[in-house]
This record gives sequence, structure tokens and C-alpha cells, in this order.
Amino acid sequence: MRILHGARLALALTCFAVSELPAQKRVLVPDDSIGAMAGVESRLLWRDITLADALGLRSGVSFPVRVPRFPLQMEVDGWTALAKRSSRGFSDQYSASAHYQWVLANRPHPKSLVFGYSEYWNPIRRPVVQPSRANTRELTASGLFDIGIQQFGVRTVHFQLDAARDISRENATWLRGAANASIGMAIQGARTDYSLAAIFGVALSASDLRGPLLSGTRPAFGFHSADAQLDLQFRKRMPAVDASTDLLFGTAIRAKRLGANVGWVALRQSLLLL
Amino acid sequence: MPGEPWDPVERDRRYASCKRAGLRRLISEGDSWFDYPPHPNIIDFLDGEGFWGIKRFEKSGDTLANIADEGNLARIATTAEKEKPDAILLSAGGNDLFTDIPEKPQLRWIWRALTPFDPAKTPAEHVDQLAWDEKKTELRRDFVRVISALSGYAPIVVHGYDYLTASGEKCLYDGFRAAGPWILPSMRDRGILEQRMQTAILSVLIDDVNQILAALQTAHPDSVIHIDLRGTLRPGIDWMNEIHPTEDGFHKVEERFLDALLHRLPKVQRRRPAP
Repeated sequence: MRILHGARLALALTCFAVSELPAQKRVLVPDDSIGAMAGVESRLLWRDITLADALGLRSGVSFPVRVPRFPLQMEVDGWTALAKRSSRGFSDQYSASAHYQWVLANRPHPKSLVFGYSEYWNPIRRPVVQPSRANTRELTASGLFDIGIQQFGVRTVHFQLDAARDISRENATWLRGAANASIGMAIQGARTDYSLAAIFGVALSASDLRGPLLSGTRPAFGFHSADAQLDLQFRKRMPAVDASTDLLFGTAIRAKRLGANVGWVALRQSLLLL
Repeated sequence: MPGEPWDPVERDRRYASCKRAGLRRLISEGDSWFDYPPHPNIIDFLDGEGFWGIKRFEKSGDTLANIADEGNLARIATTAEKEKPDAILLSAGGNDLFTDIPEKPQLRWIWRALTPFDPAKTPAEHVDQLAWDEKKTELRRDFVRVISALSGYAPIVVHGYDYLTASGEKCLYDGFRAAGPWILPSMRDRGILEQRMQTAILSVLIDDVNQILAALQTAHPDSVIHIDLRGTLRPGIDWMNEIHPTEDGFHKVEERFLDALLHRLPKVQRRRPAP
């Protein structure tokens, strides 16, 4: 009888404890955003492939679409050459993408997988060899994970693994591994906060993309490019909208089929709606 | 790819995402226990629980005196009015013990709270009662100012830290900017060299800060939730430096916050008049 009473008491206490918990459910929140970006770049590159070897305009908007249980992040991006437009290369490019982020671990050290579908258009390109076309589509998958190195005061190193498979024009595969880390500071104002950051990133990629050699035979899968980027970022936090100004410097060592090694500079302005 | 976790804009973006995901809301304001740059802190862990979106105002190094400034409180009140948070989390008071003092530019205010070492005196007798009483009055006044300005919008959740440690360890902000030590140089300057005495004196100070907060909770039970963190962190293990826990230490502290938010906050909310 004693044991039974003990069990009953434990059960009653458990029920009481459960009833104290509010009906809240843990949610793994995806990294979505509503924003717009525009910027000028000294040369237009996409995955280190030259779209136009001249000044270009980069633009983009992103917004989430909340399908129940399936939140999607939509993105529309543009690469518009401001000079040396040529129908023989890729030149202008526009894309529309939908991404689904599967959050594996929440913060402070988040891990997630992102699956996407993209549609690309190169409207002024005039392909000379079939089946090359002015538009293509691809499937993408990315793994994002963060680590911190407490002993050295390194708060976060972001790692990203990307895979993309062109399923229309080139039927090619592109893989990339990237890492970036930052240093910076926040400055608190009376109504507006500011932050300054230097974000350094490196990446290594491999592919069997032909790049500008659209009519050639498909290259063997192998080295695509190695690149490094420094992003000097100034951000302003305001009540309804946040603004970021980025001055970027990049350089890429590229496989021969993609052309000579390149460097570039970009200035971008983006707005984040809250 | 998520942005930099210390960046106010990234924190806003995260908050907007959490709101879109339908999470309930919190507001946080405070010092480095909520905004520690080298590794994740209390709010970073709380943000990862997936229960609340957190609108963050904290800044490493901030003092209670600065937080209780009229303009700052008005800014938070405006946000609270709009966002309707479940609670306002406050971490403050610690840096008020480590402000600059003109008479000892290389030391911090805590030096004023100490008396020269006397082996015949108890730890409590090594605390300068006049200086400490003045500081406690300031702290109590500023906490009341914050509670008065913000508790109409949501209950205020406060903590009084755990027992600080005079380890002499510096803090490497961002891996290269060194700060501190905040305590040991003042102890040494006062001739207080024995570690047990240092620890006991710090316990007197932290106990008093917690008493202030416990009294405010008793006086304003529908407005204040005091989380007593004393004894949460293991001395010498869970402390990264003199005044900041390790990442694991912050996680332990966050678990105490989580417990208070899940179990104590609903009871306080039920007692409050409907908005």
C-alpha cells in the first residue's frame, strides 16, 4: 500500500507540474527576411564565371511565403551589365528562386539544410549551338552550420556547403565549400544603433560547368575556383527598417576554362524591412 | 546564411523571423550577460529555445544608471507598447560596480567599496559601508525607475548575478580586445590578497544586490520576478573571467531564466490586470 501511495503521489505531482507548463511549442525558426538590395560591381561574376567583364548592376529582392508547415523564402536577383553587353556570352542574368530551410539545430550554434529551385534567364544571349538555351533551371542544396571557438574568443565561424545541379541547359554540377568569420562592433545611439564589421570569407569550388565555353565539350568534373572576399559592412538599425552598406573586395583563382584569375570591387546598399 | 549574432541588425532580422513564425515576444535590455561578444550568452541561448522572439536592446558594458536614463526607457517603452511582450528581461547593476574613478584611474569603483586589509576584520567589515550604502541606494533608485517606467507593459525579470570571482582573468573581446581584470587589482591595492577573503567580500556585495532585488519583488509581486542565480555557477569552472561565465556557464544561467519564464511568469501574468 505504501508503494501504491508513493506512486499516486508521484503521479499527482507529475500532473501538477505538467499543468503548470504553458501550452507553448518549440519552433525551429528559419532565417527568412524581407529585403531589397542594389549595388554596382566592377565586373559581373556569377559563381566566379564572368557574365560581363565590365561595370554591372546587382539587384535583388527577397521575401518569405508562409505556406503552412512549409515556409519558403523567395528571391529574385539581377545581374545587369552597364557596359560591354554582348550576346555572345552570358551577359545579363536574372533569376528567381524558392528555398526551403530545414532547421536541424536552433541557435546559438544553428545548423540547417536549405533546398532550392532556381530559374535563370540570360535574355540578351544568342546561343549559336543547340541545345544551349537562354534560360535554365537548377536544383540546389546547402548545408549551413556555425561553430564557436571559446578559448580564442572566436564567437562564430560560418561554414556553408553548396551543391547545385543544372537540370536544363548544361546538366552540370557545381559544389562549393565556404567559411567566413567577422570582427566588428556595435555603437548604440539614442534612437539608432550602428554596427561596423569586417567579414572575411574563403571558398573552394569544383564543377563541370563550361562557363563561357558554351559550345565546347563538357569538361571533366574538377577544380572550378578558389576565392576570397572581404566585406566591410556598415549597418544602421532604425525602428521600421534596417540599412546596410557593404564595400566588398573579392578575388578568384579560376580554372583555365573560366578565364583568367580576377579581382573585383562592389558597393551594395540593402534594406531590411522589419 | 545567418548574419553575425552580435550585430543589432541581425538581431532585428531574427526577431522579425520569430514574429512571422508566430512566436511569443520578449524584450531584453542589459549588459554583457545578455550581450557577451566572445561566446553565446543568456539571451542567445534563450533565443534558441524556440519559444520567444526577443527584441534586444542590450549592450555589453552598459550600466544600470545608463539603462535607467529617461530617453532609453522611453525608447523601450515605445517598443513595449507596440510589441506587447510577455516580459521584459533586465540584466543590470554589475557594471555600476566597475565604473571609472578619478582618484584611481587604473582601478574601478569597487575599490571604493573596500577598506584596507585588517586580519582582525570579517569580510563584511572590509566593505566600506558608506560607499556601499550610497551605491546600493543608487542601484535601488535606478531599478525602481526602470520598474516604474516599464512594468505597466509587462513584468520585469531581473537577476542579481552569481558570486563573482577575483581571478584576475582578462576578457578578450572578439579575441583581441582585452578588458579587465575588474576586481583583483582593487583587492590587491587594498592589501586583500587571500583568495578566501576576496571571495567572501564579493559574496557580501552580491548577496546585498540580490537582497535589493528580492525586496523589490516582494514590494511589487505583480511587476518583478527576481531570479536568484547564486550558486548556479561552479567557482573556477563556470567562470571565463572575473565577471563573465563560460559558454556552458551562460547556458546554466539561461536554464534558470527558462524555468522562471515557463513556470513563474504565467502566475504573475494571471495576477496582472488584463491590458
